[in-house]
Amino acid sequence: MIKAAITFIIVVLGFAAWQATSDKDHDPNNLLIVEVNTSADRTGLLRKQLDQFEADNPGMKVDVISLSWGQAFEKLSMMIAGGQYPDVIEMPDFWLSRYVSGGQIADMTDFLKTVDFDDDMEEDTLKYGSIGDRIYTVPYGYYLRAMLYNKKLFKKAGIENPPLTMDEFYQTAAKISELPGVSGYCHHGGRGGAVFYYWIMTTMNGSDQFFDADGNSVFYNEGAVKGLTLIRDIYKNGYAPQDSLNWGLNETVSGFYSGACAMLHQTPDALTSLRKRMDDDDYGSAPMPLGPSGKSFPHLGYIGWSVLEGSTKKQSAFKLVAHLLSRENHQAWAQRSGLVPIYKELSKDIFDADGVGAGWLETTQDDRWSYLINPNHLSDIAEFDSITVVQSGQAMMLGDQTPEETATLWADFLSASQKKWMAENE
Amino acid sequence: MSKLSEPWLYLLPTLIFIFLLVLVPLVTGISYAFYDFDLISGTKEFVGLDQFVRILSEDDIFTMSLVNTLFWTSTSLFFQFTLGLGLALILNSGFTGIKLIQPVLFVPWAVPSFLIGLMWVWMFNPVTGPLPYLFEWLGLMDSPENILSDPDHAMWGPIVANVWFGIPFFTIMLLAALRSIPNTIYEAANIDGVSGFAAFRYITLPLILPTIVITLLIRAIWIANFAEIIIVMTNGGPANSTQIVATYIYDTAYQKMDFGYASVISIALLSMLMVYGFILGRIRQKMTTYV
Repeated sequence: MIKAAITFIIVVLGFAAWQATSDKDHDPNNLLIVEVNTSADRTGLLRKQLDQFEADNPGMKVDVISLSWGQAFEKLSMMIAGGQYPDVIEMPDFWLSRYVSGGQIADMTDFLKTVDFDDDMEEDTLKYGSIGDRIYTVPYGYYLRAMLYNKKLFKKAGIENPPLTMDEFYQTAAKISELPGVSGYCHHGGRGGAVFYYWIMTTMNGSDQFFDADGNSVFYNEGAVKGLTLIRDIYKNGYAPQDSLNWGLNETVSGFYSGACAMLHQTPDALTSLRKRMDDDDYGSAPMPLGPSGKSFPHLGYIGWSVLEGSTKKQSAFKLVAHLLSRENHQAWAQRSGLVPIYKELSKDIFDADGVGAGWLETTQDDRWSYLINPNHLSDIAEFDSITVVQSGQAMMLGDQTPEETATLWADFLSASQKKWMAENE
Repeated sequence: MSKLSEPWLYLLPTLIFIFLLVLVPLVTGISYAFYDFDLISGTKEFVGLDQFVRILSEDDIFTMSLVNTLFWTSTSLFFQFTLGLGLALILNSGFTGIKLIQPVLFVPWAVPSFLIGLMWVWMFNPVTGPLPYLFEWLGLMDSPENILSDPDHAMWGPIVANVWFGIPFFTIMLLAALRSIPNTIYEAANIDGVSGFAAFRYITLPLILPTIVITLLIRAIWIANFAEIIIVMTNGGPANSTQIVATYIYDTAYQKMDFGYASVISIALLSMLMVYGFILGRIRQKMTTYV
């Protein structure tokens, strides 16, 4: 009898708990936000900004789920596939097309027309998060690339300034490599390194576009092949460490701070770990070298906030996104993350013109540098970035295929994908 | 109730359990192989046997990963087994201080594989780890370099990590088998003048052989399916030189988001492991059947 009673109570409590969670899903005053690029300290800041949102909107309540970056994509996909829709999610640029093509992301265009962002917001901020002419995500910061350089090694090799042009980049790498046990450039040959190839190919090609009007990839162009040949030569001639062929982010950063290599193509968040290991006087940053056209197209990645199409509280969710991106909140956010802020003037507060972040500041303020954005509308861009480019880039460095063959392979992939997209979105 | 159906009634709860927890997920997974399946949009398009034709005729990476899987599995298994057996024999000899050393030797088995991968990545890194300098000192390398970036030798990195991780498994299993052999057999053999290597060859080995076979069988399947260490250490690179079938499945499912094709590769791996399991099962049966 007692056993039966206990079982009954457990079943009733279980049912009540389940009911409560599903009620929460439908409670118009309860929002759920999922963050995927988590750290304890960042979650603390997010919580503070959410508390403010709750205070500004009495009755509203926002819960946070933090997923670790490594499994975030799988877990979030499973949540959505299982019908558990968060209201707001953190959206890296390379996920966007997959979720949008799956019809999972809400169109924010009409709502954003009603929001009054400050005038100095980077003009293309809303465009970056668009597919076609509809806005699906708003970036909360930019992973912009600049060149870090080791001042001590430069001095030892008798070089005064960081390279301004592509020729100087090659010559500098060669000269520094004459120092015993040191290579000129820290090549990121493993996963995550694709954007360096995009930069060198487009910059040598003289255009920040990936495709011509017919959907053909510019990687077929002579300039793009020249770019690829340049980095292949840097590696082949020993101006980059031989094991950098499969280096990931951690290896490139440790290669740089240990002095194994003297130049590093990086995003500003790397400064956080470099500051712990190097003196600010021993290294600096410079904008990415200019190509033959006198321009350079450093890659710009972003993560933004999106609202789920399946959310039953879209209007409140939109308001929450606008709240997180307000200038005041964004300033604290950008300062903590070290990313390039979406409000131009804030860059001056975050990157000191004389300090290690000078390269990023100059890139944001000088017209010779404009940003290269991945063709994030292509649904297979993540696969291209993390598998195709890495594997065939490594094969090229090893001499198994030529830069021409590699560029053609990449151009074939991208052209096919772009034309398919154009046909579907005519 | 007929006598024939009664036993089935007793078995029913277990059968339902097996059906729901084993067969349903397995069959669902296998069914993906016939679809072009996108998890995010939830779209499924029936493509019949197209993906099976692709794996058999045009997928060079699959062929390469198959060869790598054989090398990865056999080499890891060989070193894990021989070193594990050696360690079990030493521990079984009962030297003083064994109680102190034994728990320490089993530590690697308790470390999460993700952490093991990271730990060895740093050990092989010339900036942070001692191994490249050791290899240089031993004359194996001209200068301290990271073997994980050398396509000819990269596979040895995850293999070393895997061997370090897997030795305790063999030690535990074989030590248990060794301790189950009654001492009286050795005493009787000793009276007949058999000791040392001969005792090992004619008494120990035959008696622990069934355990050896079953542990080799289980471990080989685990190793062939064990992708974490490789994903953390080399991500299948450089240029696919450490790509095994299990990492290829992971890449296809979670990087290319191609669940259909990932399922086809999984079926290929499953079939091969089943054939292997069947053969080893038969061998074990022969060994343990005393006529």
